[in-house]
Amino acid sequence: MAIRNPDDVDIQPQDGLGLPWFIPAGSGWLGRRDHVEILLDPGSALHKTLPQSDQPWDTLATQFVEGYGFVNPGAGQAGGAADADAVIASGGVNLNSQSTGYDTIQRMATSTYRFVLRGEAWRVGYQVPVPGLLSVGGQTAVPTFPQWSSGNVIVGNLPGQIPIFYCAWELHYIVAGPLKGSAPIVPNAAMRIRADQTLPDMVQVPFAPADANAGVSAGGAAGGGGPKLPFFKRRGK
Amino acid sequence: MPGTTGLGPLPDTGKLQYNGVTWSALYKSKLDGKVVIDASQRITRYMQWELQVDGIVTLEQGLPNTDQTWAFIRKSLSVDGADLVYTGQGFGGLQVGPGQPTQDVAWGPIPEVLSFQPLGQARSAFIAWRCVVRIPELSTTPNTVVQFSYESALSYDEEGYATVSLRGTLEIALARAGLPGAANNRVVTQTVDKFRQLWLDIDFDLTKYKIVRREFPMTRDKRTCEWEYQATELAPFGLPLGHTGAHGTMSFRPIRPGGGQQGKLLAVPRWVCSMKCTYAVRSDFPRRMAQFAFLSLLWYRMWSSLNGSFPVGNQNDVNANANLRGLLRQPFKQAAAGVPVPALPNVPIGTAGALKFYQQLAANQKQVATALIPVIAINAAANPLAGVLTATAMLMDFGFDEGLYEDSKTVTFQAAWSFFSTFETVMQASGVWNYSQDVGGNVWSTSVKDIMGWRGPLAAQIDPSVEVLVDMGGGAPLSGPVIVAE
Repeated sequence: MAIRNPDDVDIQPQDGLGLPWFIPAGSGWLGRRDHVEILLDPGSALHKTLPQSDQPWDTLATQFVEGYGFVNPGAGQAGGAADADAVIASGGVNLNSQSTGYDTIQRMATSTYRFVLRGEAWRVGYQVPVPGLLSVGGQTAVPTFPQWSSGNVIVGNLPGQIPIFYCAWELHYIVAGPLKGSAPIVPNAAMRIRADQTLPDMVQVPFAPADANAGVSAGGAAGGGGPKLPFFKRRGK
Repeated sequence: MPGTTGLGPLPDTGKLQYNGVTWSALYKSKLDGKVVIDASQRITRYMQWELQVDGIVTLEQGLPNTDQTWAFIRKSLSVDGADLVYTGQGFGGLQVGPGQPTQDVAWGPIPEVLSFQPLGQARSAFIAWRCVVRIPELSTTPNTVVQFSYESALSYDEEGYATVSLRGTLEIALARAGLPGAANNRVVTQTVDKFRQLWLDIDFDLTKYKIVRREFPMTRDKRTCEWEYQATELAPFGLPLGHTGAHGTMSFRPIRPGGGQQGKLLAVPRWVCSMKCTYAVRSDFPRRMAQFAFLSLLWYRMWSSLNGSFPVGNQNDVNANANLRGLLRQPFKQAAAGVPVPALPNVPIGTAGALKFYQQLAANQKQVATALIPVIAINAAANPLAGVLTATAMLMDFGFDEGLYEDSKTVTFQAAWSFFSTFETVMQASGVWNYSQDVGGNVWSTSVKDIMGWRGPLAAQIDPSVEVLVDMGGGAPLSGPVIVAE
């Protein structure tokens, strides 16, 4: 008697049962990061003279690695001592130059700005569109090499065989004219937020829907009374 | 004659006889009566009479001593449930037993004391005998209810929810007298359990209470049931259709997408709801009712994402949402004005309400969620919230834990879905505190009403045929040389 299964195997009411899946095109972003990197060449040029003697190379190092241990500066050179357990008391980053000469720096008429639109995104159900810059700083953004994208990759799926797409991109742009203003900030589509936000005076507290039970009580129970006695009765006799 | 207490010099003015033993006139008797009331201290269950007999057993004619007489007396006067006749004393008669007009209510008459004190040469002896009968003075109907009363306890826990406890006594009269074959019958044909079905079929208001305990213990004499009921007030959510137990939680959190540093950031307004529910379906219902209950709730709350605000344009302009707030608060205003609030505002209940969910299941009709999206669009066309309210739920996770073997009473489902909503409308969009129409109220109470009273899905009954009186001390017809007196 303990094992009972009144199910009729020929009746499968759950067959075809669906759960809601509402993804407007704007809300399928699982994550997205866009940023515009700016590379500026201010137009400076460096002019140098050739060395007049066989002077050592400049280096930042103050201690050297050789084999499986350290050696002190000058090891292997005249006056240097090989010491695998060398411990030096001072050093850090060596900025002492071997040269005492000077270079000449010239400037050009214009700077060169390179904008790199770099980003990646995960999106449910819809492919990730690769973004592009139209203008920046009041000037037309002109694509230049490299223009790179990973292409859309299916990296997973949600229940119901719904694909999750991933795509990354790195797009370089140059401009021809003088720039004004500040660098663009790409809105975050996944977080539904953009940079020109108005900071609120306060944060609106979430408000709740009317409780279903309370709603019924408010509309139905005249007088607002609770259950009345007797709350039970004896059936039969 | 051995069936008597011997010869007496005086004529009999009354009759005293028990189980074939007839007293001569050489005795004195006394009846001590006690009114036995019920547990409620308000009604008389029966009168308990103790018959005290002190007399003399004398030598029968032709016998050398009273050995044979006393042997018969000892066997006869120690037997329970035989015929007792006590008449002619001006008492109105006390005739109790299987063949008598009055029946004992508790397997009696019950002999309690039998004393023997010889008077000399084994020719005579004092006899003292005590016998108790319990009889209803107002009724002679055998095997009926003797008492029914109960006490109740109403308590409130710290949350203010009520618990109602009922504890009572159901007692019936039962004696060999009412059984076929009377005193010599060792078969019990009915017990108080039969009366349980009639008298303890207690009906609670299941729209407010859940029966959590029912006990029907039966005493060894099969006459009394000290029963107990306990019911607790239902939580606001109630239980889903056809379930005797349901527990669960819903968790609501912002999504923290991606990995690395980004994984530590909140991604408001993207949220995830996860739900985990454990169900116990009544044992005579298919256990997939648990799946239906879970899917119904999941389906209903995913729909709630329609109530989330998903503003277009400048998402950050909080001032632009001022009008939106007013519109979304409309249900509160309706409730305050006494207007019944839809269980889930803006969800097309007429098309896809929870009861419809079950109706379509029963009809084995397919429910295709995506087909409902145009309904939203139509509503949105006439809805001032068009463009800001958008259903955005998508199922992220689904799983279950089935109890096996002795844990197969329960199954646990879990699922998660995500949706978009601004912070201020997340409560609406998550469906918190709203539940579908298949839980609680009349829907649930009707689905479990038949397992509320004396029975469960399994109508367990105590079979009286397994009961037998092991009756070594008496009950069987006496045999041997003794002769029952006329």
